[in-house]
Amino acid sequence: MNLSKIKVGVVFPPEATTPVEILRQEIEGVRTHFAEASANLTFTAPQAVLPTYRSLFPELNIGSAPRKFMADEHVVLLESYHDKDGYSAHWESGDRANQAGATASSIKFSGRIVPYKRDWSSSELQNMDANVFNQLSPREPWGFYYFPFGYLFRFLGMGPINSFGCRITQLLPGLARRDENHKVVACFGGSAAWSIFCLHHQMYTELLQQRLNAYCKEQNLELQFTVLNFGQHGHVVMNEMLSYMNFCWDLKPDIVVAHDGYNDAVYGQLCDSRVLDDWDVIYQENLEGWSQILHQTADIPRTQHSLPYRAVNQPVRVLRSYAKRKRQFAQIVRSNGGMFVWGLQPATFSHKRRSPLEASLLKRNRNPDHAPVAANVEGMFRILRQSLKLDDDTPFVDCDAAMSTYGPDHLMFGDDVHLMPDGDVLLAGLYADAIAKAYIDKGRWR
Amino acid sequence: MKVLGLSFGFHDSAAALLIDGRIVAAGQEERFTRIKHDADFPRRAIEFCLRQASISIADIDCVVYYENALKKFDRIVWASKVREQQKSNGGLMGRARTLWNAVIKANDVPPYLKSVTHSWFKWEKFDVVGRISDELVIAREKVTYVDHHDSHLAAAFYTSPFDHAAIVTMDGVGEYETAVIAVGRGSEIERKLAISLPHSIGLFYSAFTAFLGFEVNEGEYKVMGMAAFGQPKYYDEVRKLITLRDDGGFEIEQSCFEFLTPEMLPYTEEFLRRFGEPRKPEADFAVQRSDLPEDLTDAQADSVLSSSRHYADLAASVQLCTEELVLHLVAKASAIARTRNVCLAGGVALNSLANGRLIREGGYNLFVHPAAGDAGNAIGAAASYHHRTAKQPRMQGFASPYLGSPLDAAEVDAAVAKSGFDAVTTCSSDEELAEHVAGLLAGGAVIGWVQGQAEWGPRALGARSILADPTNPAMKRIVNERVKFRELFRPFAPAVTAEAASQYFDFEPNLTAGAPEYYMLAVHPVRAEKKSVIPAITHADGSARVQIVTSASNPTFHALLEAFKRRKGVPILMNTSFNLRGEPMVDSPGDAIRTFSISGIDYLVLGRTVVSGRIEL
Repeated sequence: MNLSKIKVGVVFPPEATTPVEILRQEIEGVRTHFAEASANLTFTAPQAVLPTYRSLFPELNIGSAPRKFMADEHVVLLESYHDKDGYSAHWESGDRANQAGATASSIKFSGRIVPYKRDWSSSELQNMDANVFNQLSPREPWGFYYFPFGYLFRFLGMGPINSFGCRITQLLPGLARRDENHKVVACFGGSAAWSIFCLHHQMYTELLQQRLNAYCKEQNLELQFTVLNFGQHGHVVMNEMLSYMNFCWDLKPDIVVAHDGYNDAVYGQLCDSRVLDDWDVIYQENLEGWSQILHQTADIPRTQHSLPYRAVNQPVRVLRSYAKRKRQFAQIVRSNGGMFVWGLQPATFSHKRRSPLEASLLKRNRNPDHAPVAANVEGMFRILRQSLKLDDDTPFVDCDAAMSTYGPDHLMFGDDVHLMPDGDVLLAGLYADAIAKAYIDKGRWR
Repeated sequence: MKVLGLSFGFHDSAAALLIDGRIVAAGQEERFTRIKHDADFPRRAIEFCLRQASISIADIDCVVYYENALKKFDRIVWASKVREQQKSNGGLMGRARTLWNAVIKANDVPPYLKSVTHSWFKWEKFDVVGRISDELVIAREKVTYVDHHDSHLAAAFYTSPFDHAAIVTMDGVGEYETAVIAVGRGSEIERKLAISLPHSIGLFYSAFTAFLGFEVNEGEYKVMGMAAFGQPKYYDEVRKLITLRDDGGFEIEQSCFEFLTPEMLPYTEEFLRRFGEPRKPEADFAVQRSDLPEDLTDAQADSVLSSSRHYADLAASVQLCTEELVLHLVAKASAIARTRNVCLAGGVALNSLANGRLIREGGYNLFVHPAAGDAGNAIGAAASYHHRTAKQPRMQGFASPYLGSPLDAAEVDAAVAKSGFDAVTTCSSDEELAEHVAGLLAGGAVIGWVQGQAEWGPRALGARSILADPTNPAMKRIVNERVKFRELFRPFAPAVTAEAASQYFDFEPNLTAGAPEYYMLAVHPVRAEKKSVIPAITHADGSARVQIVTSASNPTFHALLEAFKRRKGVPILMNTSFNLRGEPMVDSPGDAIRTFSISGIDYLVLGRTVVSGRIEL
């Protein structure tokens, strides 16, 4: 498909109550997904709200809607956000677009693009045939699918992903043969590390890459950095280690950033005590459901057999397992010639001075099933930072503590743990500073 | 005779078991489910009671529910009708509206009634007897109920040490009643006066609780705490809303309140016109600049200080008016009953400031049921049935408030083994424990203290407590900020040996079993010369909500207080409930470890096992 020739008609919501921060991110989503068609973007809004949107976005040259849609158009609806009713794409424009034979999509508050009342097209369903496990999985834009080591996750609509669901566009074998001055930073973690509410260029890993390269240029160092995002939804440290061994062994990243904590803290409280106590293994409790499906044992209760979930393991016991596994990960990385950065991801409890919009997003997107165990995580993070004893060589980047210095003028969280673009900017800065101080400034590669 | 009393359906579900007039066990459901104010069917509390008595449900003679559900619904219908009529009385437009509703929207049900009916159907409140029968697999004939305030009356009197007493019950509302005066003699309770909705002390206080930004049925004691920082500048305005009757009753002016059909807020536009803008929940509260975040500008800080003083003054005014109302009711009840013995129950009986005045100024011999709210009605319902229906001999009063889950040594060992903590000490005797823990407290540690059976009622009384050194001026801030994560204006209460109580607090301890001070239900002034000695438990107005401890009432706790005295010279400890903000008091060793883990408590004491919070990861 020649995207440069596509006409893209963007339609604003019919009511002017959507916060401007959300509209900006949605427009950024349009620009990102249709970057090649930038010359052919048109913006329209219903007459009643036209003056409002024109004053907010004078640079967009917003026209009046409704108008006739054409069959060769791609109509993109910016979703509205209501405090009480939640998100909605305004159906009337979308339905007219469909009737006219146009392709209709909507953009969510995170900038994610999804089809509007149509199936995902083959070009939109990335990597469906990339390997047998993709082929064996349902052809769906979101979900966890079977893979022998961990699981495979797919989340479409936020930009390019590779065949394992990671937001990586580089070819790794090529990177493995890189020059001596070309350094690779591999970042691991769960969905927060994947940056689910950030477009590709807004991810902390992309920003970190820019910052490191800018720093090296500033310092007249002949170093070039590539930062890769191996984050995957739901990952605990055990999954991160598996990913490292599967994808990074030959790559030999120079630095590994383990940006995690929340998934281990929550899932660690929920999983079978015998597995945790005897083996220090933390796993995602929903994988017990996979076991029930596979072995037809739905009559045997899972560890969490009623809602809301209840902690069956004590916080400190969970932390001991988490710390042990993370030390193991560090050991594996070092044995493969890399350096390790211990990151503690932030959660919403550390951003208490928040804007009304952020409070509204939190209220709307909170997971009630996890609430009783999620309530313990703040205390667990506190114990971790008070009790963790690392050797001097390992930088500890406490992104959670850093969050508390920011007030309501930064829209940090879209839910309990996933950051909005402002939050990823903070992460990039923190990791850039830590890497610069711990490795670049110490002349690690001279 | 084995009688199981239940309260559930609205807030604070509980179960209590009476066997031949003796309270064998009582438990509040929230302690087991870890859901604060859990209102659901008290399955786990019932299981606990049966387990304590080593019986099964089949052994139960009668199950008694704490209120008359259908009479309650009748009140809801009546209240809706009254409210609709009041709306339609608004002149021509009002009558037109009524006509519109009647003719055009025939059978239109008022929104409040519609939503309540829907809720009642959903939660099976119309057939409580049937629900209990189904849940417990027990014959319907074995299930009965008593009226709400009869439960309160029974809870207040039959568990008291008095053979003859005036009884006053005061709450939000039961079926229709909001307050009752009665006389108790032996096994009989004779009602003398009842006040009905819309006139309600409980709802009056709750309306101001909501206005001050706190949660109703949870934040009332925060209003008491806030009141100490203010002056009753709005006394006249608030007092205008109350009329005290000569017969002991009272009336509340209704223009400011929505007590009949409270869909959203319990106060009206008229209330806002008189008292201004409501305080935002979680708004900063401070009476001095040093309590505020440093990054606030001077203008912002002044604004917070000014609004804090305003709301504190309002809290003080409401509190003073409420105290007067309570004193008025009790004075009348005492006169009617011709005795100075007074028993209190109903949520308003938890107003410890009022209770303190009743003791000091009124000279009453006061007994307050420790779980004076609806949870206590589980005991009340059982007690009412025992005496008034089954005509059994007068039951024993409270021997002890420690009616809840016992502490099992094997359970402690197992919980500690799985906790992840590895610095564990086991003391070989209670004496060694007292000395060891007193040493930790004297060194500035904050201790989680779990001993014996859990307390009945909302106060921690040395069975599920957080303890700290009251002589350290910083301790109040430390515990509020680091441990309980509460608002800084919240005070902490002292536990003191009974022998030393009058040296530190301005009251004469009544060592009669059942005195409110055993249950931390009365506030008294700290003696002027002692305020600087025990600053961490002296509230802003120089008062404290005192718990007295004797070697008979709680030997382990008493020994600890004595051991602390040997080190710091005062037989007093800061005693607050062992829970974090928003959660119920801990119950089991596992609960205690979990809360200990994520709080800033330094040591956890489970029986004779002492766990240090210091770990290395």
